Amino acid sequence: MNTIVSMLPIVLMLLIIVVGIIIISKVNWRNVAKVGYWMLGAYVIVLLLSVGVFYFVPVTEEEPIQTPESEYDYHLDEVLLGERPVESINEYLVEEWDFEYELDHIQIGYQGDINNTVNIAVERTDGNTIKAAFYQTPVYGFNMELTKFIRPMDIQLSDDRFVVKLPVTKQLKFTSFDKEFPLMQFKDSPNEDWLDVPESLYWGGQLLYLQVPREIEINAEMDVYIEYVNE
Amino acid sequence: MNVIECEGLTKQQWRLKALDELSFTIKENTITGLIGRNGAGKTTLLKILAGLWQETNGTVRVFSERPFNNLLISANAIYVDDQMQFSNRLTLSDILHEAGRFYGNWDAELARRLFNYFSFHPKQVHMHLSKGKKSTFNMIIGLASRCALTMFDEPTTGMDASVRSDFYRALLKDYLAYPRTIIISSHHLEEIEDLLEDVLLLDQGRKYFHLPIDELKEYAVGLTGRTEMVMQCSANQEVIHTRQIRDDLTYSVVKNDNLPLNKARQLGIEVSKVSASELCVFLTKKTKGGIDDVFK
Amino acid sequence: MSLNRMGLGTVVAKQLQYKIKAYYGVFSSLVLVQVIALLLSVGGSVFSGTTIYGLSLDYTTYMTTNVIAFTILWIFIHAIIMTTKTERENSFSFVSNQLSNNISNCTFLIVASIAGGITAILSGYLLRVIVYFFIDIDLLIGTEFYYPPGEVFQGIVAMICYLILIGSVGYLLGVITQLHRMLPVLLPFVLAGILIALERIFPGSFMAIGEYYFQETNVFPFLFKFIGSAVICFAVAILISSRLEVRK
Repeated sequence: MNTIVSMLPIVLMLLIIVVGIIIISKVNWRNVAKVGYWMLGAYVIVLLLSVGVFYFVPVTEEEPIQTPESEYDYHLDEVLLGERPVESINEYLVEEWDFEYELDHIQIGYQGDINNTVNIAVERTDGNTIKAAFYQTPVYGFNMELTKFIRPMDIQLSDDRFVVKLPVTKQLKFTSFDKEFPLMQFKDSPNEDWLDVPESLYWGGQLLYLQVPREIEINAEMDVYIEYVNE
Repeated sequence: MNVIECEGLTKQQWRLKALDELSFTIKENTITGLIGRNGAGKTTLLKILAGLWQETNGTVRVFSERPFNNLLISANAIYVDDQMQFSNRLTLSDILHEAGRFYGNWDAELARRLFNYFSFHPKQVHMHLSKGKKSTFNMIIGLASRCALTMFDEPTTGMDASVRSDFYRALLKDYLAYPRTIIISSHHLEEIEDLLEDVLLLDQGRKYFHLPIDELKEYAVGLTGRTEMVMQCSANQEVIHTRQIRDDLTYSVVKNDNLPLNKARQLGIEVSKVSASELCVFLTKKTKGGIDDVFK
Repeated sequence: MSLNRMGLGTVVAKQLQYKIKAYYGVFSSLVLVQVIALLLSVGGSVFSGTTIYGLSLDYTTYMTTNVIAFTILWIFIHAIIMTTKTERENSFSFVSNQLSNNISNCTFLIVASIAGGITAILSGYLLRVIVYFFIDIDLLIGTEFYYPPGEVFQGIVAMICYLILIGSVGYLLGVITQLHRMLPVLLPFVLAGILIALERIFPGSFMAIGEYYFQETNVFPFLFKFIGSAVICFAVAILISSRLEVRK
């Protein structure tokens, strides 16, 4: 599909050249004075048709969405650094896992797309259950909530290895339009930022919160970053 | 009624005076020949009369108005030369159609007939015409526009002999049917002298004379005879031109002003007529002698 | 033979009619220029490569600023071409004087600006329709997709004003170059020199001029500035050329 899209301008250009040559060869050049106006007339008809078609396109005007206050961005970091109780970020909880674990040591490692590593906070607990919880604060961008596009992460326990399966990166292509500057001429702040990328991104944050019994010795593999919350 | 009145008309182009203190009047419904050597100021005069150029000094009035940049003059005086430009995006028939919209007296029928007679293709482009064809086409515009003042500047440039004579005939016929004021500039006076009523002879920007053609034909006589006899006869007369034909034979052109012609004939001098065109060449010769003297 | 008396208005009307016929090339080039600009716009401008946790974001923006820039260039070039010797002499082969020729030229430029302005803005619809139907879209950001008719109308008015102003500036420059045969070569340097000198002596004046026109948001001051400036340019052009002789 991508190649077809990238070919389109070339195909269109070729089409126009071919049509142009046909017109030029067919046209009675003695009536050449009229050709300019035929071209203009045909062009105007195409433009008017596109105006008609446009208003049937099922895209309606969107209100710019309200981007949230930015302070929540720090909440996950504060939990990671032990400055905030984990209960306070419950609204960002995405998924929880429980594992029964008998051995006295565990190795934590990643699997999957290493670009999508997460911060891991470890809380030492009593008992013999390892609990994992994944928190994700919302991602906003391009006038859209993007969190829903992020593929879920998963956790697997095989023997003594605690594997964090990082999600595959999802590619998103956004298409937008910019209004040309004459359209904005009579707006309150015209023509000031008409060439900027208009949307700002709210990156969001991720946190994997582990509750691991005290007796279990934790080994982190390379790349794995772990903070111990209550030590 | 005078269509054109010039008084002390001067046109300075850089250092050169193209027209120098020119004064004359041209009456309504006459055909005037504007004669002169190359650079005598014919084109300059016509362009000023057509309102294209501006006079430097003196007064010029066409239809009692100053012509420069004047719409009345532009609508009623047409200036035709071989430099006439028409948009190359219009065909010849388009141009005729447009001319018809601009000129109030335009005779579309005449234009069409001339157009066909000279076998133009209606879809041709002016730019692609040959020199003679261009002149012919411009002439059609000049005739069919029937402007009260019609000026042709060297109208026959590039035309072949038969088109030239057709043109003069067409001009005369149309003039007789629809009298108007016509000025033709040319250095071929012999071709147009049958058409003309008046001749305005310019020399180096000055008026040499402005005479009816009939007077011009009588203006001077040629005397051919033995040198002493011719000298004797033309003493105290205005000698316009003298040429040694053989050692003792001289040809002189002398102004015909109470010349004792009978006496001359008795002296064995042959008296001949001087045609208007020859006369004009003699009159405006800058130096004595001719091209032969250059090679002596 | 009685004289034909034609008023200035009549002559201007006839000349305008003649020019609309003779300058068909102006309109075919308008279409060509806009179609080419639209083809260049169909690619959009791509901002790619933002990667955050789990997401890689590519961002393509479509707009017809190309079309607008090309159209402005188009009117500027044609305004200059109209003042060249050949075009001037073509007009003077029929009934004309400098004033009527200038007025009909200005009127023609205004007609061309109106055609250019309307088509340039409407091409935004065409681009949106082409992108919507022919280009594979994952996620459409609808905020700027929607074209409210009111804004489009304002855009057309503004665009026409831009074109008229640029056209009048081009026309004035063209007329100035007709004064002396060295000027077509010299004028660009002289202009550049003046602008540089202006910027040196009064820093920021260049920007100030831009802001004066570009950032005017109120309709009536905007119209006043643009149309007023255009009228001044045309008037100066008429004054300068009123003493020009034709068919030199």
